[in-house]
Amino acid sequence: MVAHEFEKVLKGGRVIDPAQGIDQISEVGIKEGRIVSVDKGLEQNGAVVIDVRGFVVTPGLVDIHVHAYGILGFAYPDRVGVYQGVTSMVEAGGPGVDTFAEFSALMTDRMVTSLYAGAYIRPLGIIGVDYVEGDVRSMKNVPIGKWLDLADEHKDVFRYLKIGAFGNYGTGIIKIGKGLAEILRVPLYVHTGDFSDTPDQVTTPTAYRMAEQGDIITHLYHSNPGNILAEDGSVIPDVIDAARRGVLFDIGFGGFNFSFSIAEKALAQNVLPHIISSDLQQVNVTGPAYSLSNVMSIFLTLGFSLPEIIERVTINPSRALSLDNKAGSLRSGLPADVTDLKIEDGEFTFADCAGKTRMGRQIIKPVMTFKGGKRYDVDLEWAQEEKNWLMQISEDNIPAGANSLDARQKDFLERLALSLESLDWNPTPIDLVLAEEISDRFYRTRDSIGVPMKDALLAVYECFLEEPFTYQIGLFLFRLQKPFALERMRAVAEKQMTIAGSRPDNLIVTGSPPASYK
Amino acid sequence: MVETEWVFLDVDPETAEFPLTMKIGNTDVVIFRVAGRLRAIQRWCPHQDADLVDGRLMGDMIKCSLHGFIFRFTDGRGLNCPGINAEVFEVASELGRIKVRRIAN
Repeated sequence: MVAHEFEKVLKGGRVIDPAQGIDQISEVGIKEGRIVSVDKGLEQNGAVVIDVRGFVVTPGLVDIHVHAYGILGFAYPDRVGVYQGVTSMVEAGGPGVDTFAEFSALMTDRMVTSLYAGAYIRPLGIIGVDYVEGDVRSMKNVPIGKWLDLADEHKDVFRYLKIGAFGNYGTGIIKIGKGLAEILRVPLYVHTGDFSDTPDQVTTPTAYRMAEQGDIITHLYHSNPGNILAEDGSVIPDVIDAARRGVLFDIGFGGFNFSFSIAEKALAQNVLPHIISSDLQQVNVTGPAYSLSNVMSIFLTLGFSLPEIIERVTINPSRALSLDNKAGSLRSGLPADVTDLKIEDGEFTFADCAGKTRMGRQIIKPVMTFKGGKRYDVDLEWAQEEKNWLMQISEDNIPAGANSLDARQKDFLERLALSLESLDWNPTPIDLVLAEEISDRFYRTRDSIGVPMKDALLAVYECFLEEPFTYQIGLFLFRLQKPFALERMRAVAEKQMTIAGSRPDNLIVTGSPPASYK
Repeated sequence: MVETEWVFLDVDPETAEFPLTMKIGNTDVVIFRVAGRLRAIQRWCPHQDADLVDGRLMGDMIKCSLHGFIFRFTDGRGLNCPGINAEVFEVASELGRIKVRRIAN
């Protein structure tokens, strides 16, 4: 074996890579950000050796259901990514066809964790409140041409089309969604389960009947109206049939989307998830979801073996979204995305979304993540810091970040304020027509002076936010009181510029990757 | 501004077990002690009527157990649920009793 074949060697861990059928004590050799080989006793001359004895070494975890962007998203999404052992994640519906450009401008190159997107069929993407989501009119139009352009332009990022099987939509939207996914040649990703109000008609069985091989149904074990059990506790036949056809089932733990009772009854009937995902978002990162690894631990308590769980957070999600040439395995040549896990013994209490608990004897704790060969030490609790998940409007003071805006951005703000002057809105309740009108005026103003999308978005956010949250722009402005919004934008526009390039410290996470906007 | 009437609750705030529930007019109210300070908010979540008695205190906020929507005790604003706000009440202790009143508009 040639010396210096590796730059880094992870030595002595129990390597579990279900994609390659590996479960043994091995070394993992890394060079130039890629996996070179997984084998026993790799030559370590000249390599940085990282002792991982006692750890389980797996492909970097893949979470196909996270809210990193938009109305449900985080200020610092890497904190639910590499800092929790997850190297690839999929934004589950934040952007729609009308906001995908915003998503792309803001999120490209923002994170260390690879971020892919499932776009929502509603033009603005997910709204997050059921009094809007439950109204079929909020779906607006479905512009096929624009969708095709999106799928073409963002083919490396766009992974699935998300729809919601809930509310009093009837089943029409499921059929439209299935048709659109087929046109776009991406899997259909279906949220199942109503918030908690019982609709006139439960639409979930239709979703199971419509889904084809490779489509994915999420929130498999939710206990809301439209769950997978019949009144007698048996799994409804539509679910069994869907599994036979090759439809994939995903967990999407969420905030109200996972029940021990449903899970245990379904498992007793051999209805298993193919994919385990977290559905992490602002409302559940401080519990009950916490992290993907917490959801993985819950599956240990439900009787899954460690390799069975690893498979469902690596190669299974990766294959389902055609990412297996980039993630999900430790195959030679793939990016060196690796997660080291510690399995701790003890007595642990795990809670589902209804607060029901189960005792477990083991817990899975990621300790170290490698992304493209670069090491990140896990801090599971960092994501729970309030400034990461609670978006607060800076009402009394202009955020320091506004100092960094340049003359063109200030010109944009002034013009945007002028353009919005003639529109009246009140933030309660949400009026999508008005939010879209605000969005249109934002876009028209931007087009009129040619400000890049990212600069225009940041110009607005920096007027109101201390932390780098992202948010569909029309919805963001709509939720502010109009007089306050316009006055603030004008005040920032008139502010004298400080030294170019100066930047407040509070938008930069010390010692971390570029989690801030710029 | 019209001052609203205080409603007294014959409970000693020093020894009471929180949360406490009561009525102001027809509105059910729940009272918490948050970092030594009394806070009062409508009992039933304005979203889907879940009981905020079961809510989780997070700093000077409460998180509904049903969907995780968070309301600020200072003004009732829903912080992660645009367009949904809760009513909060003025609450104080006086001579070993608790008094609560509707905040005048």
